[in-house]
This record gives sequence, structure tokens and C-alpha cells, in this order.
Amino acid sequence: MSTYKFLTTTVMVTMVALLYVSQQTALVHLSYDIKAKDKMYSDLLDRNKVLLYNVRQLESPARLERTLLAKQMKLEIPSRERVILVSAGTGETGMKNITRTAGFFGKIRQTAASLFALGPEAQANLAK
Amino acid sequence: MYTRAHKNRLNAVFSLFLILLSILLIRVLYLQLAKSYNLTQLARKQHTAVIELQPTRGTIYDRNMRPLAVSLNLQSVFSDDRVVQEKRAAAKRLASAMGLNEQYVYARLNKDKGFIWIKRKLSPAEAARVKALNIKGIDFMKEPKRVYPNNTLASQIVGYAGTDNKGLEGLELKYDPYLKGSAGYRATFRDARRREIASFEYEYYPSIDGLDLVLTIDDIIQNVAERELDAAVKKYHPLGACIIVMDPKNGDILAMSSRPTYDLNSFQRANAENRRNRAVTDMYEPGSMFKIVTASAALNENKVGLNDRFFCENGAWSHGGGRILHDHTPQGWLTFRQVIERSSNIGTVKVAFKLGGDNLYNYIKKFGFGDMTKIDLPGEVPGFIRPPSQWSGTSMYAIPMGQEVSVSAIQMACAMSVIANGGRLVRPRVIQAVQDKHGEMIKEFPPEEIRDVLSEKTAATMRDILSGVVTDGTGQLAKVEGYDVGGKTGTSQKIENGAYSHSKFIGSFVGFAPVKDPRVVVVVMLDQPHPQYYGGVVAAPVFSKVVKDTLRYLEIKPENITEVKRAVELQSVED
Repeated sequence: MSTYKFLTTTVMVTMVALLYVSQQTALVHLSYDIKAKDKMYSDLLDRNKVLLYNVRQLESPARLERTLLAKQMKLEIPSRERVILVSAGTGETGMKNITRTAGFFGKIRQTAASLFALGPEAQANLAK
Repeated sequence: MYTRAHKNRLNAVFSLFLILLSILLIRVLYLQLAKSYNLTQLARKQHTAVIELQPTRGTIYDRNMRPLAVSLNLQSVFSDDRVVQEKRAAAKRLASAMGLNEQYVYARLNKDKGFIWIKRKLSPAEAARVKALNIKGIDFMKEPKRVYPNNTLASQIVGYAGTDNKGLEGLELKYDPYLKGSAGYRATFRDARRREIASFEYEYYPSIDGLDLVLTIDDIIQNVAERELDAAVKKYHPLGACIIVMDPKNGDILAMSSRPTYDLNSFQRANAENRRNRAVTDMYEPGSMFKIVTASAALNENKVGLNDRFFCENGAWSHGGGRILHDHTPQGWLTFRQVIERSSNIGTVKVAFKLGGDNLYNYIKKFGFGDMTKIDLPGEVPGFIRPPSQWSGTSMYAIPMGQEVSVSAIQMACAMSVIANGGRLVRPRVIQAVQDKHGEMIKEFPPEEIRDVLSEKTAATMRDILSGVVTDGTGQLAKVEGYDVGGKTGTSQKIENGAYSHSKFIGSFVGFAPVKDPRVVVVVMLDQPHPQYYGGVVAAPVFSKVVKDTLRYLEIKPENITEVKRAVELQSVED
């Protein structure tokens, strides 16, 4: 009886010890994963910052002006009649919404459109 | 039964074990008691890591939240020389990827050290190229770097921060306590390969990022001002030049620049001359621009009327001691308005005599000359004006027309703002607010009115007179199509060997627009321009071009539509 008790206790203690060790190991592995993800996250944030910086550099007024001058682009402020605002194309505006045709031919048209980059037609309104 | 021999052997073995056990016990006690502290420290050092958390330096934005200075974390490359194989080939590939000299890289790889920098703070493209090489023993570490997306734009205002992220010049220096933030740390355990085990972190003190600065500068107006200043510098080759665009109502500096200038991204190559913000650090005699002070004071004190007449001595007036005061163009009788429009020195001095020396001095001080404007930029000078008790016999012939007095360009901008805004002296400001990363306001720098200098009526009359300077007087090149503008030209002689030079001049112009409701005050100053040097010739056109683009950008409708239409029609005919 005492041998049985001893063995049971030993097995239980071993099980608990193994559970504890496996938890700790899992924790350590999790830490490595967290660390890797954290590094990736911070790398992406840094990359984002660099890209935003590049955008800002490209948009800098002096650079834009230089580019426009180099390309001899003479820009002028357009008159009201020449300004069109692209609408959202909703039913509320009364504009025709372009929907892709359903069915077999519709699918062919869709595939062709995606191949040749044909999107829905732009809707335009005169500026109010 | 045990024999005696057995017993002896047993005792010997027992004794031996006892001795060994005792030695072991002594060693354990020694380690536990004598060496405990050192060993615990050593173990802690090996198992734990204290990682410093660097704060991100605050961003500097213009008034429209477009960044002028940002901090990026860039990759720096280092090598473990003992791991790198085939060093000659590796050096060649690395040098090509980073644009370095091959011999230099090879020398670095041959130092036989565990850690040595190859190149610090690489551009993202360079870092990608080096990573793609995948050379064993070459690794990366991130380091913060301060970068400036507009390169030279507003360089003397923004200033720069050094490699250790500390502000060294301009606003980066003055507002370093706000911008730098504070470092934190994280204490955690690490494994045998020195990798951090984040879940066993036991101490965390977060870093606090630096705060952001929001300036009053508008990068579009700044660009316009710098573009036109550059064009003038190219045409007239001055030693130096500066320009200020200011909102007269609240003192906001919309643009400020000096020439020569420098690229903030390579500030190490710039000398002190290029880094100097001449608009606040340089004093010069304002010349005829200063007549606005004399005229305003005389009007405000009711010592003169608009139509009072002054005899301008046909261009030369002897005032004792053999000294003769000249006008650049001989004039006879002129009204007070004409005296200012035509910038007559003799007429202005006669106005000053009606005003009196003490009154003149009081107004000079009231306009802010001789004192700092308290603009939030480093290196400001107060200028120079002596009190009447120290004036010489010739001072009353010199000070009213801007001699014997030294001013800075920012003081001139503030003085003209008094006239433009209805008589109030406002403190110029470059910073609007300090805010955190989420846009939460931490500190505001509201516009500040210093004192009333002129009455509304005097200011309005002065605006009217100064618009005449542009339409009929010396500042005709300052005209802006479609808008009524006002201003005053200035051409002052520089002092050389204790006397006024006849070959070295400072040409300047200070003006405002539109006359009815001034939105901008612009000061342009060119130091020793040549071959032309008159303020009305070298500086007034800069004013005109800057004001034209600025008013259009600010969406201020032209007042004089007919004039614009005519100009457009003429342009079409020419095309």
C-alpha cells in the first residue's frame, strides 16, 4: 500500500513538475514569438516613417516647382466652368450607376475589363 | 569478524571521505559567504538585460502640419570581423552596395574585432542592398537620425540636431527640452544566446517621446520667399540677404530666410556664415525705411498735417560745420506726403525738428527699436539707439532718416506691422504650440500685444502715404498687379573705416498688402548688392513677387479687377 502511495505521489509530483517546465518552455517560446513580432512591427513602423518622409520630400514645394519648371508646364487656375467634381456615383445624385453584367457574358466582360484595366465609368458633375 | 586490518582500512576510508566532505563544506561555505555577492552579481549580469529605450525626438511642423523636421530610425551596419569569410570579396560587394571606398571597407573588416562599424545610418535603399548580400558576420543595428524633408527650406529657423539627437542650432536648440523627450529602460531575463525573454520582464520604465512643435511658418509662403530671394541674390550678388513675411495682426512669422543658406541634411558642411539667421542676428542702419518712424511720430503728435509744406532746399542743405545734407533727387517745396513718397532726407529732417528730439526718441523706443522683439529664436540682437542726452550736433540730421541707429530686419517688420495693424506693436512669434503625438495641446504660445504705439487714424494715414510711395514715389517696382500695396524703400551706406562708404550699400524694402486690410508685412534686405544697390530697385521687386504669390495663396481677392483683366489681356496678346 505504501509503495503504491509512494509511486502515485511520485508520478503526480513528476507530472506537476513536467507541466510547470512545459509551461515555462512555452512561455519562453512565446516570448521569442512576441519579440519577433515586435521587431517586425517596429520595422514596419520605421519603414512607414521612411516612406512618409519620402512622400514629403517628393511633395516639397521647392522640388515640385523645380519639376514643373523643368518640364515647362505652365499651370493656371482653371475657371469655374472647367472644374468638374467626380461624384460618388450613388443613386441619390440621379446619376447612372454602372454595374457589371451578370451571367456568362458578364463574366467574360469582367475578365476582359480586369485584363485591360477597364473600370466603371467616371461620373462627373459641374461644380456648383 | 572484522580484523584489526579491516578496521584500520575502514577508518582510513571514512577519514578520507570526512576530509573530502570537509573540503567540500569549506568550499561551499567560502562560496556562499565570501564570494556570494560577486557571484550573484555575475549571474544576474549574465541572466538579465537592461535595455535602454530611446525616445523619439518630436517633429517640427509648419502651420499646416506639414513636417519640417522628423526623426527616423535608420539601419547602421557593423561587422564581426572574426566571422566574416573571404574579406576581400566581401569588402568589394559591401563597398559597392553602400557607395564606399573598397579599401576603406577592407581595412574595417581586417580589424579583427567582434564589433566594428562599417557605415552608420544608411539610407533605406542602401540597407536593402546590404541585406540582400547576406554576408555572414555583417549585421545591423537601428539608430535614430534627424532628417529634414525640405533640405534648405527655413534652415536658419528650424536649425538642426546632432548625431546624439541634441539640438544644436535654431529651434532645434531653443526648444530642445520639449523636443528631446526622456529615455526609459526595460529590465528582463535573457537566455544563453543572449536573446531577450520578454515574458520574464520584471521592470519597465517607458521612454517619453519628445513633444511636437507647431510653427507659424507656412512652407508654401516660405518657398515663395526663398525662391524670390534666391533670384535677387543671383541677379545682384549681395554678400548676404534676408526676407521676412509676417502677419501684422498677430505677429505670426509666415516666412523668414537668409542668404547664404545651407542644407539641413548635411549641416556638417555648412559654415557659421551660412547658418546665421540674419533676420534676427544682424544689425544694420535702416536708411530711409526709418522715415516711417519719424513720419508716424510727427503725425501722431499732430506736429504736421498731410498738406503741410516743407522746402527741401533744392537737394542740398548746409547745417553747420561745413556739413551738407543731400537728397538723391533735388526737390523744392514738397507737402508732408510728398516728403515721404519721394523719400526726401531734407524734408524728413525738417519734420523731425518740428517733432523734437525727445519725442522722436520716445517713438523710436515705442516702435521697439533698441530692445529685443523677444521672438522665439536664438541669437536675437536688440539693435542700437543712443538716448538724446548722448546725441551729437548732427544726430538730429541723421537719426530721422535712419542713420546713427542700428536695427534688425525683424524689428523693421514689427515697426511696419504697427502701421499695418492699426497702431499696435505685436510680439513676433515663430511657435504656435507644443503638442504631443496625439495632437493634444501641451503649451500654447498665443499672440501677444506689447503696446499701443499709434492711433488708428495715424496708422490709416500712414498706410495711405506709404501706398503713395509705391504708386508715385520711390517704390514703384513694388507694385502688385490687382492689389494696392504700401511700403518704404531704404538705401543705407555701410560704415567703412569709421566713415560712410560711397561704394557699399544696403538696399532694402519694407511693405504691406493689401492697403485696406493688410494681411502681410514683408521686409527684404540685400547687403552690398551690385551693380544696382537702391532698395527700390533691388528689394522692391522681390517684395512685389512675394506678395503677389502670397496673396493668391491666401485666397485674398484682387481689389483692382480691371487692372488684372488688362494685364491678362495684354499677356494673351503677347502670347
